[in-house]
Amino acid sequence: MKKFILKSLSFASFFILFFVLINAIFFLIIAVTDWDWKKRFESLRFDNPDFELLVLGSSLAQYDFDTEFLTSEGIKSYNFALVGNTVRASYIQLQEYLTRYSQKPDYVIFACNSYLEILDGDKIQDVVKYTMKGNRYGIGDFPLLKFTNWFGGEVLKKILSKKHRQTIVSYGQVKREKSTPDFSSYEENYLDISVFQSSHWISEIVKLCNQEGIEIIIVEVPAITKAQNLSEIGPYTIGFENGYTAKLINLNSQDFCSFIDPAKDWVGDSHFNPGGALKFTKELLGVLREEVIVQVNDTLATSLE
Amino acid sequence: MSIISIEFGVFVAVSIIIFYLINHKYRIAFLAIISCGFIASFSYLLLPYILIYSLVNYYIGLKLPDSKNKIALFRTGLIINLTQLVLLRYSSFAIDPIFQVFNSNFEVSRISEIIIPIGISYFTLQGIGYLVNVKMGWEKPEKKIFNFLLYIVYYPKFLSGPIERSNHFLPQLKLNQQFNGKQVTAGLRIVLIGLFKKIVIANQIAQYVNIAYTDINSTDGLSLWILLLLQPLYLYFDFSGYTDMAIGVSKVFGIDLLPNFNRPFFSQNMTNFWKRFHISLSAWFNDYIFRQAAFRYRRWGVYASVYALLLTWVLFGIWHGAGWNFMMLGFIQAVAIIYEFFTKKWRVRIFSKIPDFIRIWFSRLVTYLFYAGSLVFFFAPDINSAFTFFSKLNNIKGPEMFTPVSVQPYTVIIFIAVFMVLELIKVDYNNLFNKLMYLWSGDRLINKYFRWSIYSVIITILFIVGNEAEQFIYVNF
Repeated sequence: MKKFILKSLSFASFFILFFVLINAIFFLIIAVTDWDWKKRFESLRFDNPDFELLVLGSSLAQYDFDTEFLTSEGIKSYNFALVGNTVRASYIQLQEYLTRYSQKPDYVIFACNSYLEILDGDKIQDVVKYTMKGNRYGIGDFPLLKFTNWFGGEVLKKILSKKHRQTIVSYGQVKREKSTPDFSSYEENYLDISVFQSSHWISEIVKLCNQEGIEIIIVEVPAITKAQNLSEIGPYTIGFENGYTAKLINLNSQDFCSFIDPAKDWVGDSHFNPGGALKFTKELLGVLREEVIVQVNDTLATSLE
Repeated sequence: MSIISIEFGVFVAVSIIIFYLINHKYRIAFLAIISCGFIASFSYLLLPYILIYSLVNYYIGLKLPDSKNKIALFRTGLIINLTQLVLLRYSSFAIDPIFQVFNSNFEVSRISEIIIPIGISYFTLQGIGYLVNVKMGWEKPEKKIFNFLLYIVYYPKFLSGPIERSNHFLPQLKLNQQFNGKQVTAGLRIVLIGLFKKIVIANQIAQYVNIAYTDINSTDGLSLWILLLLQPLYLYFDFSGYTDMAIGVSKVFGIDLLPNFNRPFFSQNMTNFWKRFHISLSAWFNDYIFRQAAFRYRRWGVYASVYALLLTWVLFGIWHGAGWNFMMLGFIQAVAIIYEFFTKKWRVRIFSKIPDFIRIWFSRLVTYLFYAGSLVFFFAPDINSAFTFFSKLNNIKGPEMFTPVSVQPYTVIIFIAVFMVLELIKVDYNNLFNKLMYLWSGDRLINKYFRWSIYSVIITILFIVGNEAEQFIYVNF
């Protein structure tokens, strides 16, 4: 039995060494190859950024907002959205940006889809949490334990799929040349504004922007046909419990989404491919000019023109 | 106490340590007592029930060889076993409807809500098997009460088998078990593989299978097709994972349990499939039902076999649960095996003209698909749902948003493929398998580190999946 115990202890030591080593290798791989990690490190190390417009949100925003196009149109923009981002993590990202850098943006777009996403809750997206100041690390924070199901899958997809490998990040926007047809049909959905109003962290983003003198626009982004709604584009003025208000534009309205080609514009699961994203961003710019900004803020309207 | 839990892990570890620390004279009694504790953790009332059940079978077994009314005593034992099984497991299907005919609200099935008869299908077959063996003179009755009790309640196999044979299990208890490091290592290795199958593969597929069968009407045709093809693998990895854990834990105690699986998906027909899938159950039905029935009606010639097959497989289906769907499950296995029985000669003649490779893989594919189709009756909550499932297979539309299948964890497919390739090597490529085994089991340092690296990878993956964070739905394209 003594021999067995010694052998067990030797194996335990081997396993600990093995575990630490492959965690280090895995972390290196995802830090170098994953778009979210690269974006996150980039956003924490900007050299005196002078962005006028920041986009916050989840992967829907990450794929949908062509910030390169917006920049070429004269609005210097960066897409901060991350895969699986939570509203609280978006708030943390904005707060970090405003604390770190002296030049504040003029506008912040918080993009989401209330039909597909959960807008309440206190969870912080894992990449943001892992890299934010003051985070406490525990046993469960070994990269393999924390990120394999998510980023491991992504690494695997990059190994197997050429289109995945060829995906690029430009001004924070993820661009992947792939089309997944949308076969779904219209359903009778309506925009529920109370979902936004009851979101604590959206109200905190609005509050922060108001306090810093930044114009905040909440955008309900398009989804596939089945998830689009019959409500008006807006803009709607939303009041929050903390006393602040913000404008919401419903770009998931069936009226607005008529520009979408369901056979070509989606990369999958309500995320645009680069072609779809460019079309969307152009349409968005039109709405901002015609519907919102003129009514909301004359200065922005001028700058957009 | 769930088998996949820290509590169970601690329970196993503590029981192993104590088992080897105490005097070997008390080890069987110790295992029997902790097995009773394990059963009590599910239901306090089940424990006295099991003790009484064991005592009755022990006593009948003891008295059988010398009894003047041997057949009557045997039949009494058989009736007791079957009656308690029907009362506790099938009353909602077989007894309650009779009371309902007479407008009575009396429900016998309520007894099972009180006793919670976990493992009853398994221990009843073991009890009956023991009585048959003793009555036929195939083994001597067990005189030591703790030995017999352990045969019924032994915790590694209590919940889901393997269904042990008394003449395989009981003789092992008479051996003086000494601590054997190699045996313990071998047992733990099997446990590790079982955990991997269950946690990393089966549990990952389970959620999608369960979602679809909970609401077949709202699951699209494409998803149902994928589930149809996946469900044999799900059942296999789930059940063989459990079996591996049972066999592995038992091996650590120095008791070998019967094997339950032998690379079933490489079978070329259903007859062979059932010799390799849930072996302990199909072998039990073969020995105690099919052979007895076929022998009894041997004067009918070939029809005796047909009758015995139908009887065996319908009972096999019912064993799985009270419902027409389970009966159908058994019936279609019987039909397939009878078909194979009657067409064997011309099939051999026709297939002999086809190249081996095509013949073998075509046969494996057909066998797999047949089993996959029949499993709809296994997973569906009732027979109508099973037919709904089949009817919806025609309704294939394009991919929809966030269906269970659209968010399936693709890594599971890789793990399944690894297991299947290893099984294929064992079945079809003996030389390569022997080389791999040489690399695996060699005594050199490189062999040891190779083994340890594989164990470490498996443990790491278990940690990862066990620790599973939320799967982000957006990341799946």
